[in-house]
Amino acid sequence: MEPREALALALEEARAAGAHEADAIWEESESLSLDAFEGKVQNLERSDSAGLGLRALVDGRPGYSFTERLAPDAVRRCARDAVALARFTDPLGLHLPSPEMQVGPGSPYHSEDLGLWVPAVEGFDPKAMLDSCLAAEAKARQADPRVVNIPHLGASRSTGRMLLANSKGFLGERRSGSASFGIGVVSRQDGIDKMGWDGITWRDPSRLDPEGIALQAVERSVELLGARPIPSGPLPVLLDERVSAQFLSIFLGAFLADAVQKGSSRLVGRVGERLAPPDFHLSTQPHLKEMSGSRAFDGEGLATSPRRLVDDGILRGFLHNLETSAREGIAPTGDAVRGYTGRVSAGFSNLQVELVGGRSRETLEQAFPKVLHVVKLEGSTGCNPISGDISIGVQGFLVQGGSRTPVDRVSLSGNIFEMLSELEGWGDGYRVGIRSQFVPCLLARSLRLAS
Amino acid sequence: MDRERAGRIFQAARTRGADLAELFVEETRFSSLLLRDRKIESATAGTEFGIGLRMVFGGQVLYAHTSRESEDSLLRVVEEMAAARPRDGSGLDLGDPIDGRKAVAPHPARLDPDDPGVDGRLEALRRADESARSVSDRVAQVSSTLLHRRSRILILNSEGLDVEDDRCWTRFTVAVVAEHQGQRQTGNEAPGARRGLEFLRGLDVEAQSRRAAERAVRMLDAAPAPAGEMPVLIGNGFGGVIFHEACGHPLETEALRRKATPFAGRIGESVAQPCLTAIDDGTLPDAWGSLDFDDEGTPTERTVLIEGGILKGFLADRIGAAECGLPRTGSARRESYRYAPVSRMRNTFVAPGTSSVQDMLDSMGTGLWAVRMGGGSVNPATGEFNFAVEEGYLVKEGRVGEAVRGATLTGKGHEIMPRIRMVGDDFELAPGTCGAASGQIPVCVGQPSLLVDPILVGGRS
Repeated sequence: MEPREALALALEEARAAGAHEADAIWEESESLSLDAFEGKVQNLERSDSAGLGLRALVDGRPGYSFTERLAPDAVRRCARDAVALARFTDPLGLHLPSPEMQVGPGSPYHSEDLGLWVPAVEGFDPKAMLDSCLAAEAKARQADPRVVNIPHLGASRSTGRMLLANSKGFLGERRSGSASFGIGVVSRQDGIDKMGWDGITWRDPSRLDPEGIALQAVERSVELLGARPIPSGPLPVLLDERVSAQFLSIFLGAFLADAVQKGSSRLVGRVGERLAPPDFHLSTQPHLKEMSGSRAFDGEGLATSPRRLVDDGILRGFLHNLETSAREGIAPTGDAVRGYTGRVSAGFSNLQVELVGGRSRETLEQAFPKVLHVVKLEGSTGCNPISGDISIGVQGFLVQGGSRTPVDRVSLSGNIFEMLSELEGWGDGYRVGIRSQFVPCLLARSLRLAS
Repeated sequence: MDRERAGRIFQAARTRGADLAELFVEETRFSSLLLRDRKIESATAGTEFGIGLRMVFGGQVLYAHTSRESEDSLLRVVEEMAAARPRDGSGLDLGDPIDGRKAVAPHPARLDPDDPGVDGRLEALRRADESARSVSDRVAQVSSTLLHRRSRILILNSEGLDVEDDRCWTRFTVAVVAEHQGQRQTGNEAPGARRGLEFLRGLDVEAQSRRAAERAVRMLDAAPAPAGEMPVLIGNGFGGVIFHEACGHPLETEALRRKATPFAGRIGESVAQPCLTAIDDGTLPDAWGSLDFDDEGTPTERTVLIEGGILKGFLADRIGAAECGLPRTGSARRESYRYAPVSRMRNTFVAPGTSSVQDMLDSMGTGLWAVRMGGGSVNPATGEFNFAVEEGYLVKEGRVGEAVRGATLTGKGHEIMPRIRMVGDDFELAPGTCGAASGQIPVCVGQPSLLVDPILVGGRS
């Protein structure tokens, strides 16, 4: 079935089966990816998928279902499943958005305005992908004699379309496309291997620059050769912008209203309190041109808007969907996130730590006589997103008296909330490319280092 | 999928030069129930459906998947993919056809979980919630889920392979948050099996929930973990995640194909102490990671990886086996029709030894007892790993002391192996989800308690 037709059938069938309200999402995507190894194509993959997800509300009780079979009978079964499941759940106390809260085609932030789609992406074909892989591989092997293997090398493109409809007449559509390239290089010195990786995504494949990315990956690999542990103890730590977003994202669940309301966030009851130094602003930014998290309407059809959750260092609020805003009795904020297989949650559209008050990395490195500049994180599972406890293996450089010595086999510990409240400074730039997290490098006054 | 239609698709693939063509047809039903904050927060059901088409040209794999099952659209995919193929494939002898007749289905689901209304599932979730809360008034939050998945798959290939399988998994999870004076700690349990709803009937849901709650509450009073190199006694069951990440992944032919493993060329060599034997076994009855057939139709088997410290073998799918010159082990796996199969683990474990936990505590002197491991990660190309300790205790001269939190274990897989000094007699398996090139798949990790001396512990004090 065509998406609009399938969405209409699902909503109508849910109503007929006893749903008082319902919303439904259609997602489809196509992608093509190519992996190469030692000058040859190892894999070429093409994906073509579509699915429909439905939320039926019966007396405010939600039931969810989804289907990847998209014939009328399967869509009808999906609708009946959702209504049947609603009898098991507890009421949410929400109502789907009324027309004035919604946006759609013709609104000020329709997807074309956000630049999520450029036709050029469809021209990124297997030949172009292989050419970029071969050029990058050759460049990486020439760049340094210590390069011994390139186990990860690939390019891809993907395009997607999402439509959201509800029983009150909302219908919104979003289309996006992007091209990516990535390379992982292993170099060796004295029998020790170090991996360096770099990858990038752009809307327009002509911006990928595979050779530049390859050189970056080589540099990231060889710069860590000869790394050694350094003695345990407290040390100022500069998290490079390569890892700062990944690091912060471990703990972002604390900003979900749902987690706050249910006692699994340490930010419970702290609105209005200081979390970070003055000038530190952490925001959700749904309208950044071209970026991965940009969107005109959220997963429930509400208009999105940029908002600071931490403003001048003070906690101002959380990320809400209709359910959590209703529970708190506040106006909806348009942060709902949804895919067709799952239930509605909330999230940052694009996460941004603003650059106000930022300083260059070189300046930050010199803020203390000795700084550990971290460029690589090794797994986040030692970190506890609820308590905020940090325990994570890292690699990087000890910066001391103008020299940089590579460091590995060390782990950092501390607490993210203490780290933020004592943050010494942050950088003045972000990584390039299409992404959904914009965090400059972060200088923590003191984390505990173990080796 | 009717066989004649499949035959015409294979014919088209062969005409375009494919050495092998394969269709993987899957229909999977999911259902899940989530209880949180004393409420049934969501109930979900769903159907996944799709067809994966794989064409192999020498060592080159072309893979496409679609939810459109018409012959025309599948033939179009064959044409488009073959036309797009860069012509650089090397000649590779894929070896004998797969004989898919040998396996006898040992994992039938007895109770189909498709209808969530028929049973005591809601009650089980409520009992889990109550028993966790009864442990302490410091229990602040409980969430609990029941997940079912039933896949019906069909694998056909151009050599005449014709295998059908019906796979059912059931899992119960409970996550408890304990809170005291602003401190928050968590405890989790997540048992699962390759079974239908009958798994839930035999499960002591209350005991699982209490165990998670008690751990969360105990960790509230834990002191920061020490830091530095020291002997560590790694607890049984989920402690096997370290072997899985640090040695299991590098023993997949998928790593060997890319020369991204420190074990390349080392079969027959000593890689660990003689006390260590490690196995990957897809045949264990009802185990979460067990199979009947792998995802290219090869009957599953038990594969010895390390025996008495000597490296014996790798985990191989058909292409990995052909490329690396190794025997196939029935290890081709994929999350769903969306992925081409590659070599993956099933139930991977360190076999039991003879030491008691007390013997190992006595022998370790001063160090850390990592009773329960959290998750972790590894870079297979370099072997570097990092794991969290969810529940840990200090050990001083063989005596178990105070609880500690925030510890991580860091090192390199192939360097840690020779440092496993004693192997316990308290073997246990634990289910988990493994993510890699062919998606998220159910696997078991497992081991008895192991004494590793020394290992780097990251902590706060």
